[in-house]
Amino acid sequence: MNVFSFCMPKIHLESSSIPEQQWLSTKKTIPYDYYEKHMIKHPFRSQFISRHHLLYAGLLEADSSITSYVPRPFKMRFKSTLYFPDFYIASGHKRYIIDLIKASDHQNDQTIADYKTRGSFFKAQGLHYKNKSLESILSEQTRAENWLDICQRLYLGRHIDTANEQKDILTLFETHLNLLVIDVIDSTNRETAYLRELALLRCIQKGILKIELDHNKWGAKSEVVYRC
Amino acid sequence: MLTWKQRLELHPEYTEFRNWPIIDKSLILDSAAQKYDRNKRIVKAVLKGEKITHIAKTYMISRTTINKLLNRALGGDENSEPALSIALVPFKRINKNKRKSTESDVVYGYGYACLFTNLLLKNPLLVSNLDKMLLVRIQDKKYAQVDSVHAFFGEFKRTIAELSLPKDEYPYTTNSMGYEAVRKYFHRRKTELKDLNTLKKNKDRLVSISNVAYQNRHAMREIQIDEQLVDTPTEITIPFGDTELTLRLARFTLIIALDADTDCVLGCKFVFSRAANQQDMLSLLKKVVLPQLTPDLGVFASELIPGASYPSSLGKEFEYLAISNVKLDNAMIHLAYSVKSLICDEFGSTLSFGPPGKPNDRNWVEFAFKRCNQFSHRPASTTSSHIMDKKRESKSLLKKPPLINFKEFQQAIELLLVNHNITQQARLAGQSPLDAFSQDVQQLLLPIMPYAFTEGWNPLQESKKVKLHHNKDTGERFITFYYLKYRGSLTLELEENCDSVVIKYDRSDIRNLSVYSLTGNYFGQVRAPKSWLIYRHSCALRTNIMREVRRNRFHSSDPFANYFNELLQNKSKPSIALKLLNFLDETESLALSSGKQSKETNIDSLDEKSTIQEPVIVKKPLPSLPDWNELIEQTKNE
Repeated sequence: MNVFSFCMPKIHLESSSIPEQQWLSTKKTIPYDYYEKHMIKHPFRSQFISRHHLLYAGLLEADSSITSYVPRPFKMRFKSTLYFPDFYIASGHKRYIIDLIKASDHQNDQTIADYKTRGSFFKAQGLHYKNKSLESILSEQTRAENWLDICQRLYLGRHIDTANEQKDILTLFETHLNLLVIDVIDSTNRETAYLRELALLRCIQKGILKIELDHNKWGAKSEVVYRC
Repeated sequence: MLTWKQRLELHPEYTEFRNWPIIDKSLILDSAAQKYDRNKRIVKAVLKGEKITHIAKTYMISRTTINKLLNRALGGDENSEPALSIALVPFKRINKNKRKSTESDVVYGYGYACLFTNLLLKNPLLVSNLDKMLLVRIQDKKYAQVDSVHAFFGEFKRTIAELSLPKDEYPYTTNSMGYEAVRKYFHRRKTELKDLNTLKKNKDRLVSISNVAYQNRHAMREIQIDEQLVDTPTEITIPFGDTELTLRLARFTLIIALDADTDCVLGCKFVFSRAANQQDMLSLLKKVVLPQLTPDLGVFASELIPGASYPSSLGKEFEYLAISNVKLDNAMIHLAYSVKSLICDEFGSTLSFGPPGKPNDRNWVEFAFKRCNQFSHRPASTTSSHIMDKKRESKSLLKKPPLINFKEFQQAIELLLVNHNITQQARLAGQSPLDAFSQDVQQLLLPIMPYAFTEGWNPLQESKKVKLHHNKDTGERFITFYYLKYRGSLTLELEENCDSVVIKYDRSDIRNLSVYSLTGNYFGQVRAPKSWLIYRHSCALRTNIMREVRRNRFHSSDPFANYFNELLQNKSKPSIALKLLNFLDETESLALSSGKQSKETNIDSLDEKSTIQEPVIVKKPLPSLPDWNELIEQTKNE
């Protein structure tokens, strides 16, 4: 036994080892810049304690290699205080734990030491522990906001079948290399236009079609490209 | 002390003149402008590497002058910043004032100039002590003293006594002990430290993203909703039998929903109580999404600007637009499950409560209230901020009914809000909010709710899984819902043993509930007890009534009628009059909310109806079983 173990910072898991969103009660949401939204890759209503967390969830939705994620997945006790990791991410066979921190925290010796301790703890559980700086999230704000908008549309139309519309849209790309969104939707009927828009977004989410989302807000004049 | 050449060696970035700060031209006097320009050109030439002799010849000045100028701009203490561009302004004082003679010279008539600065320079402990005192106040520490000159001067005297300065030197040589210098220093240093503290705080805090400008602003991107108490004293006239009652109303609430990017008012709701409830929020959100009836503006109808309306009543394509973000404050009604559920689950929106205590995040809706208040605060109003408030109504006026009629006031506020929608604004490049909104709806692909293509969606419609109770004696089945037992003929042949069912109801009218099995089969309808069936009422009203019953205010056999009677008896109180108004509005006995059809019921007749109903017989347990004979059975059959 390590004789110095009594002075080492301890990490203790207080929630289930299965990643599950640690729900904040209504009272506890008040001190935060609090957001709540239905996302696609997290199947339940998600809680975010800052706008950075919300934007990061948008970026996770954009990344096609990520299959699912859970915000605030565990409740842990670290150095006698409660600690909630920010995100649990499943990507292929790998599992990640992500904490969002300020870039300036990287210069703080204490933060680096804590980061290493938590990293070694998660490594022992077979998880990769990483930090994401808030500044890097802000630099991708447009992309995140575009995906948050797409998430809302996909969530609202989650019960609607658009298999035929998706087929029609993909047939269009047999003869065209690229098309504008308005040409893909191409309908004066509100319901038909809605279904085609939903089908288009599903194709984009699956990665079959591609649209520029990094620098501008997507809209009727955005260009859709077939992704081989 | 560094010379200008040594400075350039240490800081090569200063060799580029573009790295020097740009001086605001207002700082330079016209008389000195030409010399400043000359100095600038001289410095640029030196930095480019031209020979000083050549420059001196060109500008017809000595080399020493050039050296002096450069030393003024770049020379100085190694640890301090050089003066740079400001030093090129002729006669501009660069260095701080310093005491040239010693303190003892005071007695020989050299005056007190810079003695206090000198004292601070010589005693760093004095500076740190004084700074500490100010900083703890700024940082709002528990042990901080009140920031007054008196306290500061006291600390100054205490520290110099502690430092045991000689008694024949400043400040002991003055009668006031340097009070005036301390006073000036207190005010100057306080401002400096405040600024420093704010800078430090801002540095620590990451730039709030809420302030980051959204690049893509469009209609329905963000809806801001807020409530406010309306201070204006109003009266309401209610028909009561042959007479009319004029009642003074207490303060009521106004809720406004506003589109942040186009400043378009999407809907408003008057709530007849001090605090709005979750149902009011739901009905406001319903107004935002579903088409609204044209507001009844009564006498103000002629003042309506043509084309002014709420956007949802503009046409089919303005209906069922999904809101992207909903911004609310942390009021309890916003935290209600039903509100969260509607916004997140039905609209798919991002619900945001914002940082606590920062209403600036929802500034556009606050501006809308400001516009309303500019209009409504013209008469003396009961703002109750403090007893000497000028806006407060005088005691003599408080006893009389107010001049403004509630209905007309409501119409005037609606007119104000609707007319704002059609008023052109500089912020929108000369467009009106409604034009900007319409343009976005027509040109952009705004998210739509799928309910646009189905029928019968109502945000006030809710469903719930409840227990189906079973009376063992009578075999009757009933449901307990909002304090009452609901009974009715249910077809339960298929699922005899079912214990739980799903009920569907409208929050604004809970007299009848539709019952479904867990698999979705329709069982029928159940009804509330008879005394609750006459007038429609919401969940909120029933909760209020039952709360009164719990307090034993009135008998529980017919609480609905009792509640109404209680209100009638105390109608002279403004708060009770408001409750009465709320009661009449919910039961649709009086046309108050815009677009609501009144049943034109007289308040007197309402009273009669509620009392005429079947007498509720309280069944008492029988002392013994009744005798049975054939005669009784025959009379029953007849």
